[in-house]
Order: sequence, then structure tokens, then C-alpha cells
Amino acid sequence: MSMASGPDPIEQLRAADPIDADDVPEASLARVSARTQEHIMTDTQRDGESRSRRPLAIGGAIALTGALALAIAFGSGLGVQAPGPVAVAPSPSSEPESSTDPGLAGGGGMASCIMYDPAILPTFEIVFDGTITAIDGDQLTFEVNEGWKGVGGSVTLTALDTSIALLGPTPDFEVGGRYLVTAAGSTVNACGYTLDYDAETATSWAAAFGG
Amino acid sequence: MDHRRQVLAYAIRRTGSLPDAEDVTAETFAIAWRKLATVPTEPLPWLFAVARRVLANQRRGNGRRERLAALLRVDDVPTPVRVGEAHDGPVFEALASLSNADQEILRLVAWEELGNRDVAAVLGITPNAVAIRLHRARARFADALARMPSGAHLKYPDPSRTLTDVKGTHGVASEGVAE
Repeated sequence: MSMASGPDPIEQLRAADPIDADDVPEASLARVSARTQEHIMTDTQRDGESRSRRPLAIGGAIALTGALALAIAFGSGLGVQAPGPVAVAPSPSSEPESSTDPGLAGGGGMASCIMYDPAILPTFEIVFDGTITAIDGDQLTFEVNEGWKGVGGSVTLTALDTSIALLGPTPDFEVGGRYLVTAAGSTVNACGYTLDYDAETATSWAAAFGG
Repeated sequence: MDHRRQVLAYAIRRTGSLPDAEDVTAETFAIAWRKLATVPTEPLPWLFAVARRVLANQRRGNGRRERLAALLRVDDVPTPVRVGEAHDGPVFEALASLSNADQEILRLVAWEELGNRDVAAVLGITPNAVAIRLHRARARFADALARMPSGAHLKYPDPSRTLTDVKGTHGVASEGVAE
């Protein structure tokens, strides 16, 4: 095969790039987030239907919390069959319109957002109220104050590298701090469903499990 | 950079249609959500690989719809439209003359600006295989460019055109996903 002389063909192709990623319009990204949300909520509803045969009292919990923007922790470990970790946006009083582009509410990066629904809580592998007793690098050891799912006593989980997770806020973990935690496998969910403890949210989490 | 931007740009480059690209991107991220355990630390090549498969599935779906439409004698099936500016014509024409595999590896390098290792991750082959394929694709592309008359027919949107122009297209302008 002969190599034709002339300008670098890769450079010629690069010059003809149809679009620069920086030029992708925000409105288009918002539509992507909304459609991703639709896909995920469909999955969640499907999962919820399959769980409805089990005695999970999640209905009451749905009423406890309004429309919160959530972000998906794409960097988190999670079983393929289970719905992924979903992260709570900073404020439970988010205005409804914030959910129209939940990606913005959840931060940049891979974050895509869905509406907060406590019914999702039981789909996580691990859900508890715990106090950190030790931190070793990214390993967080919790004393479980109340384990709603998957844990009891004490548990060591891995904190996400949020520079990878590219998500919204995560608690500033510190020894002695009390948190409401969900995890996928051994990894704490980024950006929510892992929150600084507060009694009101804890009550809503307990309600999601029939408490 | 927001990964959504990069995946959306990837899809726009391969569909020529903003609505179609948005669908592909949304499905890609929904799949990422379902398969969080398999998302690597550096997710972009993985996301491109997923988007590539979503595109392939979408095109298979389009093919089925078009065959069904033909059977039903429906005339409103979206078809690729001519977009772009003349000065890009030879480049796109030359690209379109290559195999799908050659097109995709060249696009990943030129447009997504991936290195061999990331291209390997997208295509599911080894970096050595990428190097070999890229060398050959590049040579074939150079030959094709040399054979192109000026003002050739365009198959892709042109970067100088606005997003409104891109959005205004309705069809799949490339067939470079399936190998």
C-alpha cells in the first residue's frame, strides 16, 4: 500500500471535526439528563414492582420527602443487577425546576440526576446510620447506630474518590462524625444517600424500611 | 470536561442528528448507571464503547423500521441529509470510502483525540492491534484523500455550521459503528 504524500490525513480529519464538545449546548445536556432520568426511573419502578411482593413499607416514605435532585454515582461499585447509587443534592428544599436539569444540581462530570425518591433506599445493598470510629486512607470504619439494611455492629467501607466520581457533595468524613450512609458493595455511595446525620432525614430513611 | 459533553459530541459526530445523539447519550449513561460495578476509574473510553454499541443497536433498529416502512409503503422515514460545507467534502468522502473499522479508528484518534490504549479500550482490542490498524487505516485514508476530486459529496456536518444546522438534520450520516 502506498502512502499518499501531502498533509497529515489525521490532521485533515481533525480539522473537519463536525463539533467541538465544548460547543454542545446546555439545553441538549439537560435533555440528556432528563432522558437518562427517564431510563433510570423506569428501571427503578420495575425494580420496585418486583419488590412490591415483599413487605417493604416504602409508600409512606415517598410522602416524606419532596423533589430533591439526585446525582448518580457512576464511579461507585455496584452489582450489575442492582439499581445504582443515587446521591442527594445539597438541599432538600430544592425548587422543582432544579430537577429539570438535575445534572446541574448534581455537579458536573458523569453526574446525571433523577428525582429523589426514598423508595430507592431499599434497593441499596447497605443502608445505615453510623458513626465513624476510624479512617485509614479511603477506608472508613463505622459503628452502626441503626442498620436498616445489610449491616450491623461495625462495618468498614471504601470512600469514593470524588475526583473520579465527579459528583455533587459528599460529607467531609471525620472520626466521630455521624452519617446516614448507603453503600454499593463495599463502596460508600458518592454525593448523597450518604449524608451528615440529621434526625429528620434519619426518620424518613427509617420510614423507607417500615420504621 | 463533563463526560456528557464528550459522549454527546461523540454521538453527534456519528449521527449528524442532535435528537438522535441525545437519545444515544442518555441510553449510554443509563447503561452506565446499571453497570456501575464495571465502570473503570477512567470512564471515558468505556462510555465511548457503550455509546458505540448503542449506536449500532440504534442503526439496527432504524434498519428494521425502514424495512417495515418499505413494506407498509410509508414515505416519511427519515433519511440522511446532505449537510456541511464544500471544503470538507473530500475529507468526508474519503472517510466514507473506507471500511467501517477504518473509519471508526480514525475518528477516535482525530475527533475524540484518544491514544492507542484508550482506542483499544473502546474497540475491545489490544493497543498493538490498534497501532497496526491505525497505521493501515491512515495509509488507506491518505490514498483515498489523494484520489478525491474537490467538492465531493458531504456525509457529515461541518464544524463551521451551527448546532441549529446540526439539529436540523434528521438522519444517520455515518455507518461507522458496526465492524
